[in-house]
Amino acid sequence: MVVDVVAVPANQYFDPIMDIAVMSIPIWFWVILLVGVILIATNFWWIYKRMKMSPILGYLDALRAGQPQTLFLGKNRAFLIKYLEYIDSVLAYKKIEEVSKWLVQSPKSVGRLGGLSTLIVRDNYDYSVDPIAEIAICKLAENWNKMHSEDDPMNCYNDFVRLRDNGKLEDAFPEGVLIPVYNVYDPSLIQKYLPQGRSAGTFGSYITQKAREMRTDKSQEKWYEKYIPIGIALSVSLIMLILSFMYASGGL
Amino acid sequence: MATMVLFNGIFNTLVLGLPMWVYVILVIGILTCFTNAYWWFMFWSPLKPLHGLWKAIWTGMDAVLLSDENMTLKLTSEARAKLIFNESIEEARKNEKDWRDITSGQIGVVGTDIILDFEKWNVPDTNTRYAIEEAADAWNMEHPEDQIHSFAKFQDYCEQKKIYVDIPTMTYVDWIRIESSFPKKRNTAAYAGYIRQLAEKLDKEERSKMNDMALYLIGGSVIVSALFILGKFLMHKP
Repeated sequence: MVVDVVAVPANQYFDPIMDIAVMSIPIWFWVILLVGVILIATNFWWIYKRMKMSPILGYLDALRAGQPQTLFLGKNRAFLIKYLEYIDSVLAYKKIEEVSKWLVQSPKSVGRLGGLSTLIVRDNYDYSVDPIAEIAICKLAENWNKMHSEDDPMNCYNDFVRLRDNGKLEDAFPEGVLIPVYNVYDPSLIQKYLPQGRSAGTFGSYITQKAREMRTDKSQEKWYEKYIPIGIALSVSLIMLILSFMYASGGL
Repeated sequence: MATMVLFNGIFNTLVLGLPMWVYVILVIGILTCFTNAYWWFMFWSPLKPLHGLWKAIWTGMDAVLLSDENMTLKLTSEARAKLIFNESIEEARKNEKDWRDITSGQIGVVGTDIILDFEKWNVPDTNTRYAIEEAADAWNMEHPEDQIHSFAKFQDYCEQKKIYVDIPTMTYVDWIRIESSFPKKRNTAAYAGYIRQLAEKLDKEERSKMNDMALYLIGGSVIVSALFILGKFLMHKP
């Protein structure tokens, strides 16, 4: 047994247990290391968890804002929960640079998930999605084509509109469309029956363009209002600079 | 046992009657508790309705967003949403030959199905469920080569009239619902209000940019003026 004999200064304290050296390092240092490792490891674990859950973190933003959340169905089959702003029946990103927008036309397309109102949208259609209506259209096409695949098929959105307009669909299925009570929803099936050129990006760009036009009209009427603050600031700055320069150069 | 003096005993210095290493342990310990509490209360606990996703990541299974006819969605396990009998997904996949492996989509790394279950077939111990189990069981006894273990296949066979069961297997979607999701014409009035609000937002953004510029201008002038005056004092010779 080796005991180091050291002169202990009056303001220091060596604990009989915690200052015992284990592998040449006192126990208290090992305790500090252990607690430090726990701090780092647990935080890394949470960061890892957060990273894995990142596709649905829009839920937390919506929860904090007390707003609806949006389940986003990408054409690339990636589902995300996002927090989009809902104003006047339109869903939009908070940042103006992100132009995609969706019109919430059907109240039936509003669901609920985790206690929050949930809207479903897809990137290549500018209305909010009602999966039940989508399944119904696919089923409708299937049923209609069984009877009329040769003479009057329903193969795209325009066919659907035409058949709706001339009342043939409602005549054939007056009570509505029969769908199974248990469905595994496939978002890709409706692609064929979506109207062409109606992506959320196109709709958003159109709306933003309209809003910019409206803003231009307005700012042309009161152009001077826009420049009043900068004009005042410019004048004050110039006066301040001239006076201080004159004072510094001894001219004042 | 040897006593070791580390860092010249700095950490053994007494502060308020305790050696400094006690405070270091306390601070790191408190920080550990605080950060973990923060993660728990600000991140994990509010995410409770979506913990099913983490479970799916952890077990390597798929997840299911299960909905009723009112679009009340619930993130749940594949077994709960898809299986008729009390068994594992692996067993069901093995027994049901044409098991549908492709999912509706992906949430992160987890394959996710969106399942619409209007008649709550997934709820165990109901008359509907007993009827389904009985019918599927009878089918499996008669057709061991073509077994049914999933609600999806059961529904398909009911629709094809291969199986008859005395519960509703089809339901009507009315035209109003279809029309409101896929209107024949887009009504511009539906989003006219939003355009006006967006125009206001754009205006406000521009105004705030102008105001910021005015503030920067005045701030910059104050600094330059102060430098002029400071320069005069510094270069002043008595």
